[in-house]
Amino acid sequence: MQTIQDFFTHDHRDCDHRLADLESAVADQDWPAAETACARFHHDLERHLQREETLLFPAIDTFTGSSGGPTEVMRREHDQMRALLTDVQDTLARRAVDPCLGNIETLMTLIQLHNVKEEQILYPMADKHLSAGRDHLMGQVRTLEPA
Amino acid sequence: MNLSRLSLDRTPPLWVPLQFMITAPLFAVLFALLMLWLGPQTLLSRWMPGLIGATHILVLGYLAMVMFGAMQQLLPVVAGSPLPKDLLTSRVTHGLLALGTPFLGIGLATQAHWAVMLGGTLVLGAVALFILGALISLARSRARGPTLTGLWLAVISLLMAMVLGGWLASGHLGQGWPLPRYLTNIHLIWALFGWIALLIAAVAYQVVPMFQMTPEYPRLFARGYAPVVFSLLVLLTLPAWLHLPEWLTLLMGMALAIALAAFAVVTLWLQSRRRRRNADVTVYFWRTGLIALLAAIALWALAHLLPGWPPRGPLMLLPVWLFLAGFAMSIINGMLYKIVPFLVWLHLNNQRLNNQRLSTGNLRAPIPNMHEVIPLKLTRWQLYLHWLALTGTVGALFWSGLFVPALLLLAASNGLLTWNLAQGAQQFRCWHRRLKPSAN
Repeated sequence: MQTIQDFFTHDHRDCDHRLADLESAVADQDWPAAETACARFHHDLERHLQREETLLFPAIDTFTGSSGGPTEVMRREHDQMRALLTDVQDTLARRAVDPCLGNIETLMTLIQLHNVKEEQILYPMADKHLSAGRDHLMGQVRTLEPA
Repeated sequence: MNLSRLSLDRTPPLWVPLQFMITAPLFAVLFALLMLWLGPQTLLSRWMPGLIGATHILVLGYLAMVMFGAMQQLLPVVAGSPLPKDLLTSRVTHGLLALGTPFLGIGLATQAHWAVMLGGTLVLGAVALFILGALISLARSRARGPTLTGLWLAVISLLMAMVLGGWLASGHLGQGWPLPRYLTNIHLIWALFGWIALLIAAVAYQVVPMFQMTPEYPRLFARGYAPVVFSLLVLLTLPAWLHLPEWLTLLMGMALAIALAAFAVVTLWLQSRRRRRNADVTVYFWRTGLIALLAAIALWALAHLLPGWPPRGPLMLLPVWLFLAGFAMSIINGMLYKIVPFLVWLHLNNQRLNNQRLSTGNLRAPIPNMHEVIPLKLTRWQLYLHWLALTGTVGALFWSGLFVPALLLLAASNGLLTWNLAQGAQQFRCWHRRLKPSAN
């Protein structure tokens, strides 16, 4: 069975690639492609964030004994990503190339640093402590579609 | 351990890394000015006091300075564990290093013993404090993996370089142990190939895939690289005490060169497969650095394969100069253009979020994104100046007529780098004020 680390890391890379596609389309000023890429990125990012917020993080909170621990910081960073994505969408709608690229770069960096913390620390910790119910959890994670 | 207290958001205040990063390029300017004052004859041998002094200004004032600052930002992220007493450690380390480096460098260059003694003590204090803090932070970390291994080995290498440096300095002052010249080489390899190269590799495992969206480093390579380089450095240290045949030392040196070259080739290969098609200045700085590293290694190997090459004189310095200015400075310069804009954005954004949480101050001010913190055009100009300075200084080793213009270019490039980073700091100050509750 796939580990939490493997699945979520892979999910990170998929989202990264969607965002890179968006960046390329904006740089080329290929607006229809950019709109499509932005919608795909939005969907995949939101699905990833909700997989964590509704399934993985509550499971982690059960063994850390608190929702105010490491997952709270991660949730806060998720909200920062959502806010920045709104900025990206705004600048994309205005066809403002440079501000849009600047927002994409900022979002990309924020996501990457967030991913490092999850991949280096949180996922290995989750795999270690959640081995008992992992198959059931991952089954739910896989089928989740963003609300 | 209480897992709920695991700290994943210990971002130090902006000034912690920024004070190191803005001061650093000024030392590269100081290096250029000192070299101009000393004149081209300083390049005649690596044992010239002027060259030794100026080099220390560059490696301590520029390279170590940025690396210390970057580590304080990096450790909470990759290790989940900040430096102990991070604010105090940072202030003291920065103060001691910034004050000690010019005394040590100019003292070595002018053979002023009192300055070497004073500067050396301050620098040793800064480096020792940093090493202690970094080792405690790494020991506390729950994270594992190639980056952590690389950071451990880099910091231990710095410890080796520091101990050997202290030994050599006290020897110069006539109050140390015996001073065989081989020790200088050992000091040099631990500093360059242990501390600098391993730290860059450890950071590269994270930032190359991260910023350029390349595939990950091959697992075997990432796991093996730092331990292999470190083991070779240990083996290369042995001849200081044991009489090993020269061919054996040369063989180990060649193995080290191949390992370093492999890092450059693997990284260039990864970058050629990057998903982000837009090449920004950081990508160009990285490529410049990696190609310079390959050139440095090739020239070093050539010197051992071709008898009589390079001729004595300045050209002997070419591999080390390509390593320091070509490889290390380029990559660090490029990284600064990612780190500083992001940190400025991050801290402003945190301030805005705080306002939103407390429903006070400016709630939805459009803070500048990463591209707006430092004007992209100025970063491109600085890249061009860096290329010119690098080409010029390499050229000056062949023909001393280029000595003055090349060093002026180096000073200009780093002057502009300081200006660009200061613009980032200025943006922060300006927006920080606007976001304050009292600004409403």
